[in-house]
Amino acid sequence: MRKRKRQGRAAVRSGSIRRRLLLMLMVLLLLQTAVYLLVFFKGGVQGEARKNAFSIFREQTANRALDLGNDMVERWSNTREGENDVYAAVGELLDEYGLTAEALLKDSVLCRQLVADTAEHVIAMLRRNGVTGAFLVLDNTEEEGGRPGFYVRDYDPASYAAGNADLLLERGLPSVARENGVALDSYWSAFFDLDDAPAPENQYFFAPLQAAAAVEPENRSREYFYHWSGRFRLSELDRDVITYSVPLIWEDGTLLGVLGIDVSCDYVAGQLRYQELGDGTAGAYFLGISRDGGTTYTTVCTSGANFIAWFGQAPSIAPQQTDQEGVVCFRQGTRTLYGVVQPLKLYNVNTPFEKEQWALVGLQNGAHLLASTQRIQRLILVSALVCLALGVCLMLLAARYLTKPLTNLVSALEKSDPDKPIRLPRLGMSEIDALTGAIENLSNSATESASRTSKILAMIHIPIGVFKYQKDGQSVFCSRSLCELMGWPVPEEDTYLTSAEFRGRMEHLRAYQYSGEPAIYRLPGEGSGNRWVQLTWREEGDTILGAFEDVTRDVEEKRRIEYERDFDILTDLYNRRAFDQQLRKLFSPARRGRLQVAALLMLDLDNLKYVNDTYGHDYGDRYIQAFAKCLESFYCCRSVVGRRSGDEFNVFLYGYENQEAVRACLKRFRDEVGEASLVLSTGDRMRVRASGGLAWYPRDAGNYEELLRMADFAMYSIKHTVKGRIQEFDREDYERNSILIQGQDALNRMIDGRLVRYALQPIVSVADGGVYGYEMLMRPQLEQLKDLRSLFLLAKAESKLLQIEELTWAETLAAFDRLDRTGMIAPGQRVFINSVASQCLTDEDLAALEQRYGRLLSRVVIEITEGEASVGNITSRKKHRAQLWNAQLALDDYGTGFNSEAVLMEYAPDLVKVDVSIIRGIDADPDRRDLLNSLIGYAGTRNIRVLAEGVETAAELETVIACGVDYIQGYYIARLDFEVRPIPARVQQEILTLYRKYTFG
Amino acid sequence: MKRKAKARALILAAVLGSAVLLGGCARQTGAADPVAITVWHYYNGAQQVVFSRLVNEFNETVGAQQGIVVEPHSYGTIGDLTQQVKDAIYDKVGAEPLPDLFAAYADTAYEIDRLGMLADLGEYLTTEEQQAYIAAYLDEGRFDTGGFKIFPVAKSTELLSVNKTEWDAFSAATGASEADLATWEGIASLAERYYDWTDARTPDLSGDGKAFFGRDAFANYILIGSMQLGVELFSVEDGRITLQVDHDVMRRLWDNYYVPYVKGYYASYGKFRSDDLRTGDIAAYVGSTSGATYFPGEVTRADGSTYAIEGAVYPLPNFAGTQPMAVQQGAGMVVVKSTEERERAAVTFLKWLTAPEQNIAFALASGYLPVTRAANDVETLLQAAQDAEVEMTPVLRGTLEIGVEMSENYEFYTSRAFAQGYEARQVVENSMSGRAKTDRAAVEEAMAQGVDRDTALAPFLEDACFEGWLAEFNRALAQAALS
Repeated sequence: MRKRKRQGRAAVRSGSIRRRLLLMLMVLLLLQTAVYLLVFFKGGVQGEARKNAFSIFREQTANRALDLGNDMVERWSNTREGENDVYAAVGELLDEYGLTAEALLKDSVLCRQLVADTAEHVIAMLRRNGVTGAFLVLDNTEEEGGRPGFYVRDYDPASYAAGNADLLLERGLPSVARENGVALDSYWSAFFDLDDAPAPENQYFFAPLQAAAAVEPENRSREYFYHWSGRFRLSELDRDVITYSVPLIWEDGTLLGVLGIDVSCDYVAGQLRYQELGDGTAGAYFLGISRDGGTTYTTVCTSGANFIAWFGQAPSIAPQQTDQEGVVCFRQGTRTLYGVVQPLKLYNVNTPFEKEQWALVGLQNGAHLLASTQRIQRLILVSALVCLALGVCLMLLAARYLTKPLTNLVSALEKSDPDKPIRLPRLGMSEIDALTGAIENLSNSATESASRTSKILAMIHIPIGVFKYQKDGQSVFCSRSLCELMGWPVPEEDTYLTSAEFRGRMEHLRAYQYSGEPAIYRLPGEGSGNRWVQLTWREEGDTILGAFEDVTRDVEEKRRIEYERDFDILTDLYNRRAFDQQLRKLFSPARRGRLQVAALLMLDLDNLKYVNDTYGHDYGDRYIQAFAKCLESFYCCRSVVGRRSGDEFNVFLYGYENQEAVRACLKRFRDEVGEASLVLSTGDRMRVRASGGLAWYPRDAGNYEELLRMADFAMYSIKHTVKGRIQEFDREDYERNSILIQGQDALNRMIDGRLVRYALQPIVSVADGGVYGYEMLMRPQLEQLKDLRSLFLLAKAESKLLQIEELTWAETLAAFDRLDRTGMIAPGQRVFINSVASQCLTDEDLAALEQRYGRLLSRVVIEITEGEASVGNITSRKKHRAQLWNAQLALDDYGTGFNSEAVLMEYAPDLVKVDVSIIRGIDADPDRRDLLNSLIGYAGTRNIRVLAEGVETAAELETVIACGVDYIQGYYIARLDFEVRPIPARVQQEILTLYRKYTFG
Repeated sequence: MKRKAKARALILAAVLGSAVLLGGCARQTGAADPVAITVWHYYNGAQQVVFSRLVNEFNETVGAQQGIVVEPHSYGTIGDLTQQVKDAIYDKVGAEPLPDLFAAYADTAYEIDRLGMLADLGEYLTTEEQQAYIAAYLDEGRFDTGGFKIFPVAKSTELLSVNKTEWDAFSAATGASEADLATWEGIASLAERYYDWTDARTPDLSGDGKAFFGRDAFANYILIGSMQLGVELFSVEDGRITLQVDHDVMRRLWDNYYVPYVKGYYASYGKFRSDDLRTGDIAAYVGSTSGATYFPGEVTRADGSTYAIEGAVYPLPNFAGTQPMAVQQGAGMVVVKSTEERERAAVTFLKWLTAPEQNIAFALASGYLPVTRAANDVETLLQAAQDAEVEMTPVLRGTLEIGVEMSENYEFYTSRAFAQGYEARQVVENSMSGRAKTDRAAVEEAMAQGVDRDTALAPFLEDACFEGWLAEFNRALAQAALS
């Protein structure tokens, strides 16, 4: 809402001017129209028009009725002359034959004579009266075929042909016809067949005759009984006619017959010009006879198709009265047919057929009759509407004339460059022009301040370009700097682009989008490198403000850091961190499916140390680079390649269908490596060699960490066998040597958690059968490390022997301290500690031990096992230390590989422990006895005591005692135990007994 | 801006709406009123009855559905009708306005068409619809002004009707052969024998023999005869008429009509020859098929007494040794140019009227021949008659049978229409027949005064008489046709 208000402020104001103006004018116009219509519709104009229409209608019908009446009464039915001619002929005949009229009628021959004599008069009457037919019928009933007479027709009374060629005979003797030159009509017959008196078609004869007969002969006046018949046909196939007939009344009242004329209905209809009743076919005339005072009219003839349309072949019509005088109507649904009934006065008052009221009815469709009224009504309505429409149009034009300049002004204002001084047109309306002036002044000062800002911006060289547009605006402001920045054609000054153009450029820019948030785009630079711009924009109402900033330096710095973070500088390969990251991505649940068959290859560059040491690190680096180059052969495969550490590289190949495909890749690599070499400073070529371990996914491992370990193991294996090859992971081998790999953790845990216990095995002095001391033997608490040989192998491999040594000392002394304090180890009894031959505690450690367990150290016997020559000085240091502590030194495992006579001589230990391999079965083996005896001989002379290890049987015990050992250790005496247990008295007794036996004989 | 446009549209809509409303009112009243068309025809008697019945049927059915009312108006003869039309066209005082359609012969139609007053019916009939009609009938209405202007409604040709009762008696007494009824020469010879035979019936009176033959529409005798004998009297090409009055051809025509006529072998008394047969004045006549209903069931003697007769029908006689040829006639209907609505209404009526069902009904009642190919078939006609239980007289039945048969065996000829064709035809109609009638009257007059028959006849049988007539005929014809 607020937005609309602000945006449309100017429009609302101009609209309101117009609206007020329009409203006022509209009200005026409507009032005017209303008055106009009111006057017309309520002022009686309509009723008057309607009345007029009926009046004209009445008049037309009346005129036509008058004409028709004239024709019928004055012309067609003017039979007087014909009657007289007939009477004259009758008179002549009667005179000639001296007969009465009645007698004449009885005489057929005379009747024929009379007909023949009067035929020309009948024809003359036909011609005179302008009718379509004329007839004379004598009331002679003597003839066989009917009454004699003469009936002649003229279908076209208007024309006349000489010799009666245009006449046709309907009734009468052929001889008469021929005499008069009249042709016979198609349905001609010689006599009038009038047997059926009441039949309508015979009324032209009977009606007047019977009317006359009803009156006394002396009162039969000739002018009184004439009759107009209704429509009928002389014969079935004849045409419709109406007739006028008068009875022929002789002077004595004798009824001789009838004389009359006919007029064909077609002819009558032709006289009724229905066209005069309205245009075309809207009108019709109806001639009818009413015998019931005007309620119904029997059809005589009709003219105009409209009648047929309404009534078809109706034999009669029954009009209804209307409010208009003399106007009747007929209704059919919504349609109305109006009629004007004009009676025809054919009969005089008190004549017998006075009741047969003939009338001409003019008929007109209501729609047509009142068409002009309705047309006027429509015209008035249309003109009112047209005036209204015109008025509205003019109003709009006027309003537009007033408000258009204002609208133009506003649009000019909207289109004007806000950064430039605005120039607006003057309207010639002082108030508005004053307003315009004020706007211009305001704009001038605003522009100045804007240009200042622009200049400042340019001065401080901030690489920024700005744009601005209205959401539904046509143009977009773009600063010149924007065009420079974006590499668009640079205008001289800040410019406007069309919205379409701007949108097009933005759309184009989208292809270069580098990051979404913030929106940064990489623009293709000219020549050197890319340029980076960052878009920021803001919406203020309908205005969008935006800026592009050159962020090339920031982005490139960031990218450089990223690169350095992820890539090894020397080889341009992923560093270990990045490699792990890539691999974790690949192994993420979402992407793992795409790995299919994959392999992790761990590579170790052979001979690097040699190169480094021999030719210097510079060559070492080149050696690494030469190898890294070989790794490029993987780039064509789906691979991730990284440098793991100095001479270690990882290659991950993935997305293969099977192992063969991977192996093909590997082969390429091996070939590559096979040919690679480094040119040394000596000019020699040094071949690049590497060893590799490979593990398969998913065959060997299901996740990255495991795969890494498997590959590592494979590489470890190859490193310890044949270098310069790639070894695939071997599950069996792994399970065999896993300790070396898997034991690392356990070892660390054991050391860190000090997860060792020490078991004690008593050493008994042969001389008194008492316990001389206890050997403390390490028992790791971790199941994996139970095997001490492996443990030491591992510790050695892992360079953890020193820690083991520390652990041994710390834990054994701690245990010794505890047992001593609890009295489990009696004062004077010693503790034998197995020191690691190759290791020597640091001085600090030793100092700490001395400080803590100083009182116990003199009771410690350090067991040493001499191995390699290099550890000689360590043994010396231990001996030195033992001397300091006043402790003893024991040479362990004497008789095995390492400890032999030479060592015995060199170190002169306090004690020598004869290895179990010599003691085992000594009772039965003279060689072993000799060996022991010689040792005892040697030791005795140098004050070295001898201890027999591993004594397990009574025979062994007896033999060693017999040989003269000082101390005995072994299962036969006591087993290893974590507790200090007394030596069984039986064993003690046995030793003593044996000692006495062999010492004292 | 938008608001302004809306306001403008609103006002426009209001103005248009009111206009449509008012226009709609006007149309509504128009639609409620049927199109009333008037038709002028010249049918009489049975033809008029069936025509009126058909018109009523149309008004009550198709007309009622389509809002068309047909008002028929009958004029007694084609002559009266033509006169009325001309009066209307040339605005004679008291003339009625032209109807929407009226019956017209080709020549009348041609004349009116030249005034540009006839509608082209081709615009209202598809090619398919046109093909339903017998092509020759449509061709008659194709003028040089293009299109076709005459709608064939009912066609007729001419044939020979014979008072069979009389013929049988005559044939039995004289051995006259039916074969002679096939040629004009045969007819003439039969007529002579008939005259002699009847003359002999009153031994005390000589020269009171009766005429055997009469002919309606005499112009056809001349036109068809001339054509049949190789010369087309009215040769029309591109609307230009060339009169071809051939001396020898005319002589043969003369010898086979004028000569028997003046001798009293042929006669014409009443309006139509059927009237003459009814009064027993002639025993045979050539007349239109459409006159079949007028063939009387009895003969009325001069004294009014009657006796029943039977009729027989034969094909039109030809000149000996020529190809059978007969006239194809019957006025068609022409539609006066007016509004498309009225013209279409008129054609709608005509199409309905000539649809096989109506066309057959009309044919069965009138003796006119159907104009559609589907209806112009004897079997179809007779079957339809049987279905409709129409009672046909033997003559009407024979007329239809022979008429349709002739339409297959005879070459139908109708002279091309041309300007002044009506007047020229009147000359052809009346020239020889009028002369014959007058001269026969003179012969009778002379005989009545006691001159013997041969003497009375002699001047009329001379060549000079023929030459005189021919000259007069040429002159009158040229005057009528070329003026």
